Amino acid sequence: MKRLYILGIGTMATGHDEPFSEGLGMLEKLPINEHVSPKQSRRFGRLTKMIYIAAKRAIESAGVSDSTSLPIINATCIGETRAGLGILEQIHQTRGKTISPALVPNSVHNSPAGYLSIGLENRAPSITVSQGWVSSEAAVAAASDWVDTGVSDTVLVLSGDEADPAWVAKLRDFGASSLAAVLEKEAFQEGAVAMVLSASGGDSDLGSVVAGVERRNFDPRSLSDLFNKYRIEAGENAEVRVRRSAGADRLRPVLAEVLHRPVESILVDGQGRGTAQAYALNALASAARGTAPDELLLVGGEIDDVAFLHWVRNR
Amino acid sequence: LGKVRIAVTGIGAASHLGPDTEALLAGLKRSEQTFGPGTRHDVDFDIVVAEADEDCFAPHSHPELDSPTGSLCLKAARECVRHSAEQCAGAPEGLVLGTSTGGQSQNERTVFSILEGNPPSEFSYRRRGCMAAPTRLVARDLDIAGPVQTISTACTSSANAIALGAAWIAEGRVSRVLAGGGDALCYTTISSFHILELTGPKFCTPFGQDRPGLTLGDGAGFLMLERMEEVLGSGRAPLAELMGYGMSSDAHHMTAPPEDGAGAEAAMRRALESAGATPDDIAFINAHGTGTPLNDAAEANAIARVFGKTPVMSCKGLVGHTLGGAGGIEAVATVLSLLERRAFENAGVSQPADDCPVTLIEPGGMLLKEGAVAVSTSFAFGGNNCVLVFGARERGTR
Repeated sequence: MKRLYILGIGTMATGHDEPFSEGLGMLEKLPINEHVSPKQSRRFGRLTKMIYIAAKRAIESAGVSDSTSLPIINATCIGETRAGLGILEQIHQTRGKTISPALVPNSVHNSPAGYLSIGLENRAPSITVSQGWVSSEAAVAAASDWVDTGVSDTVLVLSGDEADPAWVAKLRDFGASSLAAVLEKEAFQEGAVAMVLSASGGDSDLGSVVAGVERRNFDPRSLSDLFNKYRIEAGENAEVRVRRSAGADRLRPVLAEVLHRPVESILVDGQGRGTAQAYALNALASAARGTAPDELLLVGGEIDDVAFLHWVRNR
Repeated sequence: LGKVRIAVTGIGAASHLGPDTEALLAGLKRSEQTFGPGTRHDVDFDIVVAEADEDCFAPHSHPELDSPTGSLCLKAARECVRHSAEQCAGAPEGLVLGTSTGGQSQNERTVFSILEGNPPSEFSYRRRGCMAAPTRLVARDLDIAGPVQTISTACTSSANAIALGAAWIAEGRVSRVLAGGGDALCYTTISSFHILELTGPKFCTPFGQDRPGLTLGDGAGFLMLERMEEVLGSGRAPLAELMGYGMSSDAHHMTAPPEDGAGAEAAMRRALESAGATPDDIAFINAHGTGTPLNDAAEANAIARVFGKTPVMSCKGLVGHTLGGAGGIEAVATVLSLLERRAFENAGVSQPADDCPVTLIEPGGMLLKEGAVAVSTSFAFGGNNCVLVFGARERGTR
C-alpha cells in the first residue's frame, strides 16, 4: 500500500466553512453556482452540491490544470438521503406507480461522482465506495490500490454525507421517537471533503496519508498485526483518536493497550470538525492545514471492520 | 495488469436460472426466456421480472446483518469459496463486493412501516440497511479476515469490484480475493425503472428491433482471484485468466449514454490495452445488452468501432438485468463459456436491430477455439463504464 501525498484539499463542511451546530447539523449555504451554472446544477442533490464544491476547491488547491483525466474515488455512507427517502415515500403513496423521475438518478450512490464527471468533462475511471461510517478510509485505501496498479499517479478522493432534519421530525410525527433519538444522538454533521492524492509530491506541505479497512477481531494481537502490515508506527507525539461508531467502545481500550497510551474517543471534536462518515477526511483536512500535531492516527471500528487513517506532515 | 497474471480459481452464481453455476450453465444452454410477474413486490403496474427462487437466498445465522441482497450474495459467495476449495485453494483473504442497493429492501420495510404508523422498535441502518450490509454478512459468514470493500456504481458495481479485486492481487495486498456482487429486486429499483419507462410487461430482447426495454432480475455472481504464478506453482489449473480491465466515464448524462458510445469505447480500448490483447484476439463479447433502446444502440456502435464483427451475446435475455450483480454474473457466464468452449446465443433475438451494428450469436451458440479470449462489458447510471477481459484456462500454462 503506497503512502500518498496530499496535493490539495477542499472542504464544504462544518468546522471549516461554517460553524459547528449541536445535534443534526446542516450547512446554511451551498455556493454551488460559484462553480457551475444554475442550469447545470439544477438537478444536483444536496450531497452532490457539497461534494462538487469540495472537489472544485481541492482541484484548485492542488493546482491541477487539467481535471478531465483525473480518476475519481467517491465515498458516502448514506448517499443522497432526500432522493432516497423521497422515492420511498412516493412508492408508499402510489404503490410504486408514480415517483418523480428527477429523483431516480440522484438515488444511486454514485450520483455525485457522475455529476462531477459531467461537470469536469472527466472521462477517467471513477468508483464510489460505501463502507458505512468508515467509507472515507475505504476511499483512501482504494486510491492507493489505483496508484499501486498504475490506473493513475494522481487520484481525486471525495467523501461526504448529507443530513436531513426534516426526516428526524417526520420520524417523531409517525411515532418512531426512539429511532429519531438514535439519529440525534449521532450528532450528525453534514459535509464533504475532497483531496487530490498522488504517489509523487514529497515537497507537499500538506503531508502524506495511508489508510486501510479490514475485517478484524477487536483484540490487541489483531490490531498490532494490522499496524505491522501497513507499517504504521505512531510516534510519541502522534495524536491518536478512536472515532465514535458502532465498534468504538470495544476498540478504544484495545488501541490504548497496543499503543501504550490513553486514547481519546471522538464523535465530533471541539471545533465541530466532521460529519459522521466524512469525519476521517475532515479531521485529516484540519490536521494538514496545521491545526493539529504533525502526526495523526485515526482509528474507526464499525460492526466487524477496523479502519485506520494515518497522516504525517513530513515523510 | 502489468506483469502480474490473475487466475480465476472459483466461481459462484445465484439468479433467476437457479441457485448455482450449474443451473446458470444449464439455463444458458437451454436459452429459454422464463420471466414472469413478480411475487415479492406489490406494485400498481404491470411488469415482468426475473425473480430468483427462494433457494437462491442463503439461510444463515446472522439475522442482525440480514438483507435479501446479502443472502443472495452469500449464496453465490459460498459456492465460489466451495468451488475454489475443491481446487485446493485456501480461504479468501479479502472481499470486494459490488451492489447498487445493499440493504435497501430493509430500509423500504422500515420506512413503509413507519409511514403506516407502525414503526419498528429498533433498526440499525448500518447493520442491515446500508450499502455495506451485504459485504458484512458475506465477510462474517465466510470468516474473511482481511481487507473489505463495498463498491456502489449502480450497474457496474460488481464489474468494478472484480477489477479492484484484481488490483489487490496485482499489488500483493492479498493472495486470494473473493470479488463480485449482487442485487435483489426491491421496490426502489422496480419503481425507478418503471417511471423512467425503461422496463415493462414485455420480455427484454437485447439488441433486437423495437426492443421494449429491460427486464429486472435478482442475481449475484462471484469470482475467486489469485496470482496465476501461485496457482500454477502449486500444480493447480485455473478456471480462466482475468487478463485485464478498463474503466471510463461518459461525462455525458446521468441516465443516458452518448449515442456514439464513446465512453464505452474508451473502457473497451483500455481493457484491451490492460490485457495486452488486440480486437482480433477476441472470440466473443458478453455484452451489457440491457435491451433498452439507448444502451443497446450506443454499446453496439462502440463494439462495431472497436471489434468490428466479433460475435456478441447478452445474458440479460435469460437472467434479466441484475443491476449491481450484472458484472459478476456475466463474468461467471463468460468463464463458463470459456470452460465449455462455447459462446451461448443471444437469447430473445438473433437478428440485430437496424440501429445495432453488431453480429449476434445465433441459436445453438458458437464453438470456441482453444485458448479463446472473451470480453464482458458493464455500463451504468452516472456514465460509469467497466470492461473485463478473460482468457481460457489453457492460456494459463503459456
